[in-house]
Amino acid sequence: MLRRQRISSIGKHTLLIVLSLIMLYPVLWMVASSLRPDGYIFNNPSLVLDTFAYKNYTNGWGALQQPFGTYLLNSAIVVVGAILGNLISCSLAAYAFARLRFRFKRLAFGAMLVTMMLPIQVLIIPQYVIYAQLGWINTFLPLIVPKFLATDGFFIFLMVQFIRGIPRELDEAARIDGAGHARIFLQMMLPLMKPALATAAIFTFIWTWNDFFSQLIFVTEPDKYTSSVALRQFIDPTGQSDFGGLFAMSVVTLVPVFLAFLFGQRFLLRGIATSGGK
Amino acid sequence: MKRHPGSRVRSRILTAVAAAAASVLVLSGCAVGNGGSSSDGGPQLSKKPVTISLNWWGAGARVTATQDAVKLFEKAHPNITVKLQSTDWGSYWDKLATTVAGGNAPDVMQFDQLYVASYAQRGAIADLSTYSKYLDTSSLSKNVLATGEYDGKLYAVPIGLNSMGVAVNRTILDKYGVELPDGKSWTWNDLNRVATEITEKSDGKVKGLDPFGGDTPSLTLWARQHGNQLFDQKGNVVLKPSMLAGYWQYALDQIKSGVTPSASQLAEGATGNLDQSDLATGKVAMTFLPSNLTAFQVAAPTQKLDMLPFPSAADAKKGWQYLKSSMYWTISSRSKHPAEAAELVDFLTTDPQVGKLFGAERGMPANPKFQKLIAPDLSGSDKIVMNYIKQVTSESGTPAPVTPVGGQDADTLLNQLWQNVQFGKTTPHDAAVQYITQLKKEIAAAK
Repeated sequence: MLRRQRISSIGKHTLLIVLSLIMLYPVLWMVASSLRPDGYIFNNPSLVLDTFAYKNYTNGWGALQQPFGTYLLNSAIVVVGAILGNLISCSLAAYAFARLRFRFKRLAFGAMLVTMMLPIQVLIIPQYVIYAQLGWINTFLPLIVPKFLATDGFFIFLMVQFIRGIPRELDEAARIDGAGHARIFLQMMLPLMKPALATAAIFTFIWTWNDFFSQLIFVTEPDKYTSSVALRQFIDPTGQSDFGGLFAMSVVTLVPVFLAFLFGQRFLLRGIATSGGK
Repeated sequence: MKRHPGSRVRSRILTAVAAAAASVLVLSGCAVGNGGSSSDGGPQLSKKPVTISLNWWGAGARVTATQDAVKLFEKAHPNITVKLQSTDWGSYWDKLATTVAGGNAPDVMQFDQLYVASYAQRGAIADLSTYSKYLDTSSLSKNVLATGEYDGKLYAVPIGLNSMGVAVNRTILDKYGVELPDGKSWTWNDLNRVATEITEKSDGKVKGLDPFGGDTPSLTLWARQHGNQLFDQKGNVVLKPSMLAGYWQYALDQIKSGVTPSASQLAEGATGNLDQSDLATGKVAMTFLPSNLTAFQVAAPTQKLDMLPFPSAADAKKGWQYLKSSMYWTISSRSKHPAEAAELVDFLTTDPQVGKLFGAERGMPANPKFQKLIAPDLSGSDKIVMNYIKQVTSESGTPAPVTPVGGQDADTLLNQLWQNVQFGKTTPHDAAVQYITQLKKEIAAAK
């Protein structure tokens, strides 16, 4: 009995390991390619390195108009702004939707859900017109300020579901003790919402870090480019792209996302399991 | 040849451009192009400090060359500051569509013939004759200027020229002792003969050539040799199905006879960098190309590459050859400083220092003075291309019109149907009828 269990567990794990290797292969190939000289990249599907061209990293870092660190810093600024904005605004909006009673609440909630379904192509031109009128083009404001206005429906929804899972008796007890909404939200809800907040923070980090289109549109000058936009600068229209440098800098760009996921994974699971699964 | 993976998204955005642009006109109180106007009607240069923006796509050497050229311009015009904005080819058009729709287009834009008509029709780029006071295009020949015209007006100043030809790997030809026909022209039969000889003498290790079939420049040339063309000056599809079927049949016969890689090999090799192309890796000895020989030469430094003209039909009428512009400069119709923008375009297309800086990187210069200027410094593949462009210039007729509005998918569609033909899913004739019907439909929808 025990032996059979062990065998089936070995089989299961082998299968999972093989599948995860298949999924990981493109990433590993990119890492391997970033250490190959330029001409050898595309005719070599293997992961084994016979050369070690760390030069791709030193060359790639300085290949664009600015050192690549500038682009990483720009990405970091946008990401930090977006995380702060989302955490503050979405938690407030979610509290309102989950606990307060107000007119047109259902309609507003429905409208919020609808915004999640609009594709970016529909939104980008009106947004661009507004930001151009405000004079925000070529600044990070269009990428950060909207996050402070609770525009990410997904996170509001996530947090609403989470708050709905918190017993109302807690609120009522606090109310009896004389706490107002501000106090209930700040001192009770926020500490209880930690897993949901962590999930929102990690997702915002990954999505904003990986975002390309809106960063491309709203930022116009090369010294303000974020890393995802800057990476495209390696692509040369005459077919002489510096793929070694591109892969090397892609690896560098991936590191923060990888770390965020590595350390945030615990919270991520808890945040989703306690809100989405209800 | 460029592929356009994002073209669907782009065209969706482009459709929104018209509507959004209209609404912006209302919002901004119709401030269209009146910046710097004076009583005599034309735009005037400002004496105050002015900032204009210059948008272009590219990477590598083009970055520094453009920056240096702009620095020279700023030195010559101390009150004008130029802001540079650059992206890669794919992102460039997505971004431009959005910024134009948002009423915030850059003052000067690098352009491709694919989009001249759509932006001109929507009034997003300016008729350059308005700025003739500042922008001197007299150094360009009539045939060259015509490549930047839409509806009889000049909207785009050609920067560089190219023309489709055949790249030949001399190293392989010498190795197997295959002779090329002498002289400045060759026929389709000559091409077949050379391709067959290479394949036979190398025991199939090297195939004769990569066939054409999926790009409109080669189709246009083929049609022009037979007195037909793809689009007429009004932007209608006038290609005959039999013409397209004949073009595909020629390439299909080559694939079937084994002088080219097989259909599946061709499909596999369609993506990737030039250094992985069949020509650079020595899998084939010849390939069709839009005279960007230098890019191939850089990708295959050990091979001796040469360029031959596009083969011709024995009965082809003179003037079937034509020059294409590799890219253009255009000016936004909503520029607040059109006179300064025109000065910049003038500087970039006529100042000898810029000619030296740019070299042949944006295509063989359209300005004959630039050609003369850089000729002594050219060597190897650049020299071959310059001679080829000179030859085509002397033989060329009226250029093919720019891609009409709604015709942006002409290449993508051609390539898709060519794949079907190659794999025997449809006959050349049926695919040709389908291509023409579909293209006509797309152009009608955009009107």
